[in-house]
Amino acid sequence: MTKENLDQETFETIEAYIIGDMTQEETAEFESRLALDAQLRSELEIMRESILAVELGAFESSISDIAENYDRNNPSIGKKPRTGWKFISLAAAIAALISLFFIFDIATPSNEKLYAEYFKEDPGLPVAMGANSSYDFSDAMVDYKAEKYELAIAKWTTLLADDPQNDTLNYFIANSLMNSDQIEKAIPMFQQVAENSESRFKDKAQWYLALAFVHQNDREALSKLDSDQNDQFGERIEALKTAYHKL
Amino acid sequence: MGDNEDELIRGIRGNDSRVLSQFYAEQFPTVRSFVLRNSGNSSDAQDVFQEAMMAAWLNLKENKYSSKEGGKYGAYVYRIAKNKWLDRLRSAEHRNVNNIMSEVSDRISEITEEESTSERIDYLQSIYAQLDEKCRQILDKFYYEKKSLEAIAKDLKYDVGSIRTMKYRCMMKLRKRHAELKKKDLPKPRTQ
Repeated sequence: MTKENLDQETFETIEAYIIGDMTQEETAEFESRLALDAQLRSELEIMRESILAVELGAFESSISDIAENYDRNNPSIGKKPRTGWKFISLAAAIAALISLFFIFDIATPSNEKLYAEYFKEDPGLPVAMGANSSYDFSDAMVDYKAEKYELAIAKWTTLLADDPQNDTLNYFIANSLMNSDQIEKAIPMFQQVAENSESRFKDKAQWYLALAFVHQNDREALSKLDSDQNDQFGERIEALKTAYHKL
Repeated sequence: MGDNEDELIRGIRGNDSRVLSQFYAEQFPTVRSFVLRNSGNSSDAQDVFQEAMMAAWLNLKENKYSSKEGGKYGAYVYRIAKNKWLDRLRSAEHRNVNNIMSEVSDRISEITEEESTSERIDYLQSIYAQLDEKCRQILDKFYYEKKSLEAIAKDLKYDVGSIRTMKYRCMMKLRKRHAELKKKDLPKPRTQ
């Protein structure tokens, strides 16, 4: 049975044993205690589980970052190509693309072209399959990945009401808004996350904020964006600023 | 190459981000090809590959993967990813019962093991979910990145004593969550 509290000294002793931070003598002594103390054995197992949970959580974040980096450097091939209609549709598709190219080139303002050149949607977080994860959050994430942005926004906004400072919610609602061309609404939410020094999304949020300012043609706001502390996207933001100022 | 495989396993056990990045770059294209050939898109491929990497990582950490039984680690991850994608397709397409039963019986032991690992991941994630951002930063850096208290203190601009105390308090949150889950009789950890 687990005691109510575990004192810090005992915690650090058990931790040292698990992470291999004991001398041989200390290990031998600790193992003798373990053999006689069921409570201590129970605490050891709980701490092993806790450390494993932390490692798994951090591993998940790490893989998510690696995936995003890979995606950035290896643009997706896209969906599986449809079979059939190849010859008939090909000429029509090429003609349509050529005409679309001219229309886009003439009618689209240069800042929006720059935005389109740099913008790539955030792929979202991996969705845990089991029943005991944060179901509501994951449920909306499935909608996000299926590009059902209004639905994702609605679900996450409900969660945000109980936890308005939650950086994950703010970040992904902002992304949903941006992906559904509601860029002006996305800006204050990205700003909130970008200014949260403790958020793991702050660097990415600042990147999307820079893109949003480009889209909105807000020269002043883009110039004021300070990306010196932005480890992941600082260089890209500077490149974007340079490209924008050349327009 | 035995040495490369040993180095890979060591790197994954040690949470080496360079090894993980390289592994991702080498293995993901194969999974993506499979998913794209089977009614999926690139985003689906990313999902199942990341889930597979987590499952394989956990089994490695808990000594439930061995190269003798599971083959090379890359092939092991691929197999898990493939099965996860096929499971999604089956549940989405609502095939008739006869088809499902014959496919399930073919790999009943694999499904049991995969479900067990998924439950385990789910359980560990529900513990980790208790942590606020500050706790995650401290505990991730200490237990995953294996940084010293001094290095963490420097990163987060606190003194070492404060980091030590915060680490203890954060771990007590996890301990409390563990006790709550035990009381609710939600999926428990497998005993060793």
